[in-house]
Amino acid sequence: MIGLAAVDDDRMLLCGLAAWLAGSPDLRLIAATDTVDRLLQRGTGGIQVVLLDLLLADRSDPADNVRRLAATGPRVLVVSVVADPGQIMAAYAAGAAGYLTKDRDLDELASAVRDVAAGRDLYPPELAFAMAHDRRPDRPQLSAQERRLLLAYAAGMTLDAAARRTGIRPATAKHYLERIKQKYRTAGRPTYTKLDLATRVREDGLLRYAPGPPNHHAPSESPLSRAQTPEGCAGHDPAALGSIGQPG
Amino acid sequence: MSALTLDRQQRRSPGANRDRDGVLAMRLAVAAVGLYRGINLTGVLARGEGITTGSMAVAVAVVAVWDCLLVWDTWRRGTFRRGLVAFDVVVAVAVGLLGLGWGVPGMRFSYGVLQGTAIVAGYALPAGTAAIAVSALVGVNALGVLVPPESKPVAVPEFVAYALTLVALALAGAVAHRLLHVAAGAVRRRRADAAEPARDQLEQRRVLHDTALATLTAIANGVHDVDAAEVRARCARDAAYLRMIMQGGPVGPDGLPATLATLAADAVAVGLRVSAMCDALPSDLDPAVASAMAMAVREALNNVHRHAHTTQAWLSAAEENGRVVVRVVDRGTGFAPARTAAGSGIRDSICARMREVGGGALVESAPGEGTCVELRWPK
Repeated sequence: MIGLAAVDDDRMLLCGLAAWLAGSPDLRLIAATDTVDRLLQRGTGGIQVVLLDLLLADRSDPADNVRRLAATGPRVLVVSVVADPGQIMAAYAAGAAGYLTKDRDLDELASAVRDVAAGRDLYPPELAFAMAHDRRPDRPQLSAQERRLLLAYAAGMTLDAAARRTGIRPATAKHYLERIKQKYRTAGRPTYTKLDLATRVREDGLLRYAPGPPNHHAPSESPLSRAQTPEGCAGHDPAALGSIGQPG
Repeated sequence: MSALTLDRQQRRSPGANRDRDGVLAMRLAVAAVGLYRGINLTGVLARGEGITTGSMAVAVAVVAVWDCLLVWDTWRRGTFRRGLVAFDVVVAVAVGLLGLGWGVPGMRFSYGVLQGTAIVAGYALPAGTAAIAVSALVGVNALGVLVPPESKPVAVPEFVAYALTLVALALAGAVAHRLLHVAAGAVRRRRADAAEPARDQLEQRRVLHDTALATLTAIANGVHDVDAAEVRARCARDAAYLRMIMQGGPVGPDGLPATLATLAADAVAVGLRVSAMCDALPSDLDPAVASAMAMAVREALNNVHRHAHTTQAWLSAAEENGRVVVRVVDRGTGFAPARTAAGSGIRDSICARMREVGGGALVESAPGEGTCVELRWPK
């Protein structure tokens, strides 16, 4: 059983997600909120994977959202309708376990969640494309061969095809891709001074352990307790809102 | 050089209104040159010793008429004609040579003419040509040392001072031109920038009206079953279109992002899922190139749909090392390019089309490893 939380300001998507997950016995939606703050207030206990919308309505910084969520334990899978490579890369460097576009059908999303929960990183062409076209000044330097491989993989080729195209063996290509991912993981990660870090820990701690209304900590029977469910969702038949995917 | 470019731009654009500020600035410069030359002429006429010989009288008259012609023509056009400037150098050299025989007042006049020409040469000629012209003027000046008028020697320091003055005036002309050109360019760009968003906005509105807005309105009216296959297909198509447009930078009517978005949406409509990825593309891409790329992409997507035995394709477009690169990739059955005679689709619709517009195409495949069609421009 994988405990799942979703942070998204699109209520329709959250409701669709709840309806759809009813049919996936191994996935359980524990919380659904519209901001990271709300989820942190509730606490992330029992949650293995958070589906985090890249751009939230409260205009919070995507990388900061990833960092704050990942610091409390769960792995973070970033999803977005459309986003610019710089923002995706910043979220990735902040520790996101993967990135998916929202046009994936639900089976794909489920398998992505299972992969991420099992500790595997999700590395779709869209993420590689964002890496290849990252324009941030602090982006990592790639060798000519690494760049060729990344561009081929970003175009949608399988690892084997990308390796053939680059003129290297598939095993080498796999090793190169790991190295590239590592470079992007460490590049652009903000380095905090000790004082910044202490302040950040204190803020997070205050948020996390602040005594909230009693129902925040009360164990809920329903997978979507009213406190975390965006208003209006529980009252509707979720199936009527459709699913988040598109026809395959 | 830049004067000429500006001139061409003015002639090409039907309403030269956009460059009015640039022309005005150029005219001010022309007026300054005219004044400088006028002062030289009136100086000669006003001085008591005045005109010493008949040939000098003719020269003064010719220079006066010529100056008026040059200033008039340049004022009218807002820029110097290079041919006229070359002729101006010839006139100045001739007057300078004749001036050697006119005594001190004549020589003073001819120096004035040389100086007036140095400014114009520096202003209107490209660096190399201007250097040659100024060397010629300085050379004429140097003859004053070798063949002194009235056998009264011209001191070398005096010559150096005159020569440096000519060079300084030419440089001042060049700097003035550069500044005016930059200023005119900035004004033009600002106007263009102000006009662009309005145009983009209009185009984007039209696009949204035809796609997402029409679909959403139909759904909101409530007559359609939202979960019906065709409604969902249409939503998927519109989403694919909007996603591509949002990623591809400014949208023009013939822009590549908009065209690719339509193709991705069409493919989605026939059941091929297209993951479209688009980085910002140059907005001034030749429409012929964009259209050739679009045709090639359509053929490549058709091939995936018909032959690859897969329902997923990736379409990506980005600028790589100054080239526009578009790739259509699938992870389907693939084929052995060496053993398979390239079908007419690949040969004609993809490779030939790209070659015709100065681009290139590359089709890579292996059995079981999918296919990659890569289009690049320029080749």
